[in-house]
Amino acid sequence: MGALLRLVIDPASLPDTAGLATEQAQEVYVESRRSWPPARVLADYEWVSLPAFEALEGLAGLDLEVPLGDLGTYPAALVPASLAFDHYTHIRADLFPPRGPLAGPPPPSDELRLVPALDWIEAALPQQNPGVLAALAGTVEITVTGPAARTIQVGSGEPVAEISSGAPELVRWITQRADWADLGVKAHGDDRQLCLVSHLKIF
Amino acid sequence: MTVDALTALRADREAILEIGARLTDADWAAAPAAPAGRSKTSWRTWARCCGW
Repeated sequence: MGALLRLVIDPASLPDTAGLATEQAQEVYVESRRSWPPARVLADYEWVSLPAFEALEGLAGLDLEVPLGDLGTYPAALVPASLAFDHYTHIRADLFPPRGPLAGPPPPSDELRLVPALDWIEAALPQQNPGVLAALAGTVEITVTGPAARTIQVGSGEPVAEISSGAPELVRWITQRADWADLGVKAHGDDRQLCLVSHLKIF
Repeated sequence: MTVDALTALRADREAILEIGARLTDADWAAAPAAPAGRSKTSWRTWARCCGW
Protein backbone atom coordinates (compact mmCIF):
# COMPACT_ATOMS: atom_id res chain seq x y z
CA MET A 1 0.00 0.00 0.00
CA GLY A 2 2.91 2.31 0.70
CA ALA A 3 4.37 1.61 -2.73
CA LEU A 4 1.04 2.22 -4.38
CA LEU A 5 0.76 5.59 -2.69
CA ARG A 6 4.27 6.44 -3.86
CA LEU A 7 2.93 6.04 -7.37
CA VAL A 8 0.77 9.07 -6.62
CA ILE A 9 3.45 11.43 -5.41
CA ASP A 10 6.88 9.92 -6.08
CA PRO A 11 6.80 7.32 -8.86
CA ALA A 12 10.48 7.82 -9.63
CA SER A 13 11.33 6.22 -6.29
CA LEU A 14 9.81 2.90 -7.42
CA PRO A 15 11.33 0.24 -9.69
CA ASP A 16 10.60 0.56 -13.38
CA THR A 17 7.55 -1.56 -14.20
CA ALA A 18 6.88 -0.25 -17.69
CA GLY A 19 4.98 -2.78 -19.74
CA LEU A 20 3.83 -4.86 -16.77
CA ALA A 21 0.22 -5.45 -15.78
CA THR A 22 -0.89 -3.81 -12.55
CA GLU A 23 -0.72 -6.89 -10.35
CA GLN A 24 2.67 -7.91 -11.78
CA ALA A 25 3.97 -4.39 -11.19
CA GLN A 26 2.81 -4.51 -7.60
CA GLU A 27 4.70 -7.77 -7.11
CA VAL A 28 7.83 -6.00 -8.33
CA TYR A 29 7.28 -3.18 -5.84
CA VAL A 30 6.76 -5.64 -2.99
CA GLU A 31 9.82 -7.66 -3.95
CA SER A 32 11.95 -4.53 -4.01
CA ARG A 33 10.96 -3.92 -0.38
CA ARG A 34 11.08 -7.48 0.92
CA SER A 35 14.42 -6.92 2.63
CA TRP A 36 13.18 -3.82 4.45
CA PRO A 37 12.86 -4.17 8.22
CA PRO A 38 9.24 -3.95 9.41
CA ALA A 39 9.73 -0.53 10.99
CA ARG A 40 10.86 0.88 7.65
CA VAL A 41 7.80 -0.51 5.87
CA LEU A 42 5.53 1.14 8.40
CA ALA A 43 7.47 4.40 8.47
CA ASP A 44 7.39 4.61 4.69
CA TYR A 45 3.62 4.17 4.67
CA GLU A 46 3.21 6.74 7.42
CA TRP A 47 5.39 9.22 5.52
CA VAL A 48 3.88 8.77 2.08
CA SER A 49 0.20 8.38 2.90
CA LEU A 50 -0.84 11.88 3.96
CA PRO A 51 0.82 13.73 1.05
CA ALA A 52 -0.62 11.12 -1.30
CA PHE A 53 -4.10 11.64 0.11
CA GLU A 54 -3.71 15.39 -0.39
CA ALA A 55 -2.66 14.83 -3.99
CA LEU A 56 -5.62 12.52 -4.52
CA GLU A 57 -7.93 15.16 -3.10
CA GLY A 58 -6.69 17.58 -5.74
CA LEU A 59 -7.02 14.99 -8.48
CA ALA A 60 -10.55 14.09 -7.43
CA GLY A 61 -11.65 17.67 -8.04
CA LEU A 62 -10.64 17.61 -11.68
CA ASP A 63 -13.11 17.00 -14.48
CA LEU A 64 -11.12 14.50 -16.52
CA GLU A 65 -10.74 10.80 -17.23
CA VAL A 66 -7.70 9.04 -15.80
CA PRO A 67 -6.27 6.01 -17.64
CA LEU A 68 -5.08 3.41 -15.12
CA GLY A 69 -3.67 0.78 -17.47
CA ASP A 70 -5.33 -2.60 -17.15
CA LEU A 71 -7.47 -1.33 -14.27
CA GLY A 72 -9.47 0.72 -16.76
CA THR A 73 -10.16 4.41 -17.36
CA TYR A 74 -12.14 6.31 -14.75
CA PRO A 75 -13.33 9.79 -13.83
CA ALA A 76 -10.71 11.45 -11.64
CA ALA A 77 -13.23 11.69 -8.80
CA LEU A 78 -13.27 7.89 -8.60
CA VAL A 79 -9.51 7.35 -8.27
CA PRO A 80 -9.50 7.71 -4.44
CA ALA A 81 -12.12 4.95 -4.31
CA SER A 82 -9.67 2.60 -6.04
CA LEU A 83 -7.23 3.10 -3.19
CA ALA A 84 -9.95 2.89 -0.54
CA PHE A 85 -10.90 -0.47 -2.06
CA ASP A 86 -7.24 -1.53 -2.04
CA HIS A 87 -6.80 -0.52 1.59
CA TYR A 88 -10.07 -2.09 2.68
CA THR A 89 -9.26 -5.39 1.02
CA HIS A 90 -5.64 -5.81 2.02
CA ILE A 91 -6.12 -4.78 5.62
CA ARG A 92 -9.10 -6.96 6.34
CA ALA A 93 -8.92 -9.87 3.90
CA ASP A 94 -5.15 -10.39 3.81
CA LEU A 95 -3.95 -9.49 7.31
CA PHE A 96 -6.70 -11.06 9.43
CA PRO A 97 -8.35 -14.50 9.59
CA PRO A 98 -9.36 -16.60 7.82
CA ARG A 99 -6.59 -15.81 5.29
CA GLY A 100 -4.25 -13.56 7.20
CA PRO A 101 -1.78 -14.21 10.02
CA LEU A 102 -2.84 -11.62 12.60
CA ALA A 103 -4.98 -12.41 15.61
CA GLY A 104 -7.77 -10.26 16.94
CA PRO A 105 -10.60 -8.36 15.29
CA PRO A 106 -9.92 -6.52 12.02
CA PRO A 107 -10.70 -2.82 11.64
CA PRO A 108 -14.38 -1.98 11.13
CA SER A 109 -16.29 -2.95 8.01
CA ASP A 110 -18.87 -0.18 8.08
CA GLU A 111 -20.52 2.24 5.68
CA LEU A 112 -17.55 4.58 5.86
CA ARG A 113 -15.14 1.96 4.56
CA LEU A 114 -17.45 -0.19 2.45
CA VAL A 115 -19.24 2.45 0.37
CA PRO A 116 -16.05 3.59 -1.44
CA ALA A 117 -14.86 0.00 -1.80
CA LEU A 118 -18.13 -0.99 -3.44
CA ASP A 119 -18.18 2.19 -5.55
CA TRP A 120 -14.92 0.99 -7.03
CA ILE A 121 -16.19 -2.55 -7.55
CA GLU A 122 -19.25 -1.24 -9.38
CA ALA A 123 -17.23 1.07 -11.61
CA ALA A 124 -14.44 -1.39 -12.32
CA LEU A 125 -16.56 -4.45 -12.93
CA PRO A 126 -17.38 -3.81 -16.62
CA GLN A 127 -13.87 -2.67 -17.54
CA GLN A 128 -12.04 -5.48 -15.75
CA ASN A 129 -14.34 -8.32 -16.81
CA PRO A 130 -15.16 -7.94 -20.49
CA GLY A 131 -14.84 -11.68 -21.07
CA VAL A 132 -17.39 -12.60 -18.41
CA LEU A 133 -19.80 -9.93 -19.56
CA ALA A 134 -19.53 -11.03 -23.17
CA ALA A 135 -20.24 -14.62 -22.19
CA LEU A 136 -23.30 -13.87 -20.04
CA ALA A 137 -26.64 -14.66 -21.65
CA GLY A 138 -28.59 -12.11 -19.60
CA THR A 139 -28.60 -9.99 -16.48
CA VAL A 140 -27.43 -11.26 -13.12
CA GLU A 141 -28.58 -9.09 -10.24
CA ILE A 142 -26.32 -8.86 -7.20
CA THR A 143 -28.19 -7.62 -4.13
CA VAL A 144 -25.76 -6.32 -1.53
CA THR A 145 -27.22 -6.40 1.97
CA GLY A 146 -26.17 -4.61 5.15
CA PRO A 147 -23.68 -1.71 5.13
CA ALA A 148 -23.18 -0.20 1.64
CA ALA A 149 -26.37 -1.93 0.47
CA ARG A 150 -27.15 -1.61 -3.21
CA THR A 151 -28.07 -3.59 -6.28
CA ILE A 152 -25.44 -4.26 -8.93
CA GLN A 153 -26.55 -5.37 -12.39
CA VAL A 154 -24.10 -7.57 -14.24
CA GLY A 155 -24.68 -8.06 -17.95
CA SER A 156 -27.72 -7.01 -19.91
CA GLY A 157 -30.96 -8.42 -21.18
CA GLU A 158 -33.40 -10.77 -19.51
CA PRO A 159 -32.76 -11.70 -15.86
CA VAL A 160 -31.01 -15.07 -15.63
CA ALA A 161 -29.87 -15.27 -12.01
CA GLU A 162 -29.82 -13.50 -8.65
CA ILE A 163 -27.15 -13.31 -5.98
CA SER A 164 -27.45 -11.99 -2.44
CA SER A 165 -24.27 -11.11 -0.57
CA GLY A 166 -23.14 -8.94 2.29
CA ALA A 167 -20.70 -6.22 1.27
CA PRO A 168 -17.65 -7.63 3.14
CA GLU A 169 -18.40 -11.01 1.59
CA LEU A 170 -18.73 -9.43 -1.86
CA VAL A 171 -15.27 -7.91 -1.52
CA ARG A 172 -13.84 -11.32 -0.70
CA TRP A 173 -15.45 -13.32 -3.49
CA ILE A 174 -15.14 -10.70 -6.21
CA THR A 175 -11.42 -10.43 -5.52
CA GLN A 176 -11.26 -14.23 -5.75
CA ARG A 177 -10.19 -14.58 -2.13
CA ALA A 178 -13.02 -16.92 -1.17
CA ASP A 179 -15.81 -19.02 -2.60
CA TRP A 180 -19.52 -18.33 -2.27
CA ALA A 181 -20.02 -21.48 -0.22
CA ASP A 182 -17.51 -20.28 2.38
CA LEU A 183 -19.22 -16.90 2.69
CA GLY A 184 -22.90 -17.80 2.84
CA VAL A 185 -23.62 -16.11 -0.47
CA LYS A 186 -27.08 -17.01 -1.80
CA ALA A 187 -27.39 -17.64 -5.52
CA HIS A 188 -30.42 -18.64 -7.58
CA GLY A 189 -30.96 -19.07 -11.27
CA ASP A 190 -29.16 -20.45 -14.28
CA ASP A 191 -26.16 -22.45 -13.03
CA ARG A 192 -24.03 -21.69 -16.06
CA GLN A 193 -24.55 -17.95 -15.72
CA LEU A 194 -23.87 -18.13 -11.99
CA CYS A 195 -20.67 -20.01 -12.70
CA LEU A 196 -19.55 -17.23 -15.01
CA VAL A 197 -20.34 -14.56 -12.42
CA SER A 198 -18.46 -16.47 -9.74
CA HIS A 199 -15.32 -15.81 -11.80
CA LEU A 200 -15.66 -12.03 -11.87
CA LYS A 201 -12.47 -10.45 -10.61
CA ILE A 202 -11.89 -6.92 -9.40
CA PHE A 203 -8.48 -5.53 -8.59
CA MET B 1 -25.18 7.27 1.86
CA THR B 2 -22.51 9.46 0.30
CA VAL B 3 -19.07 8.67 1.67
CA ASP B 4 -15.87 10.43 0.71
CA ALA B 5 -13.27 7.84 -0.25
CA LEU B 6 -10.55 10.02 1.21
CA THR B 7 -12.27 9.97 4.59
CA ALA B 8 -12.27 6.19 4.38
CA LEU B 9 -8.60 6.19 3.41
CA ARG B 10 -7.67 8.38 6.34
CA ALA B 11 -9.61 6.11 8.70
CA ASP B 12 -7.86 3.04 7.34
CA ARG B 13 -4.50 4.81 7.58
CA GLU B 14 -5.08 5.14 11.30
CA ALA B 15 -5.95 1.45 11.46
CA ILE B 16 -2.75 0.52 9.62
CA LEU B 17 -0.61 2.58 11.96
CA GLU B 18 -2.34 1.09 15.01
CA ILE B 19 -1.87 -2.44 13.70
CA GLY B 20 1.75 -1.76 12.85
CA ALA B 21 2.46 -0.28 16.27
CA ARG B 22 1.25 -3.36 18.10
CA LEU B 23 3.03 -5.94 15.96
CA THR B 24 6.05 -7.62 17.45
CA ASP B 25 9.13 -8.76 15.56
CA ALA B 26 7.84 -12.30 16.01
CA ASP B 27 4.57 -11.36 14.27
CA TRP B 28 6.46 -9.98 11.31
CA ALA B 29 8.76 -12.99 11.18
CA ALA B 30 5.78 -15.37 11.21
CA ALA B 31 3.89 -13.60 8.45
CA PRO B 32 3.81 -15.46 5.14
CA ALA B 33 5.36 -13.76 2.14
CA ALA B 34 1.91 -13.53 0.59
CA PRO B 35 -1.48 -14.92 1.58
CA ALA B 36 -2.55 -18.02 -0.27
CA GLY B 37 -5.00 -17.17 -2.98
CA ARG B 38 -7.09 -18.77 -5.64
CA SER B 39 -5.67 -18.98 -9.08
CA LYS B 40 -6.51 -16.18 -11.42
CA THR B 41 -9.54 -16.47 -13.65
CA SER B 42 -8.94 -18.21 -16.91
CA TRP B 43 -11.09 -19.71 -19.59
CA ARG B 44 -9.75 -23.12 -18.57
CA THR B 45 -11.11 -22.80 -15.04
CA TRP B 46 -14.41 -21.49 -16.39
CA ALA B 47 -14.64 -24.42 -18.71
CA ARG B 48 -14.04 -26.87 -15.86
CA CYS B 49 -16.47 -25.08 -13.53
CA CYS B 50 -19.21 -24.69 -16.09
CA GLY B 51 -18.83 -28.16 -17.56
CA TRP B 52 -17.78 -26.91 -21.00
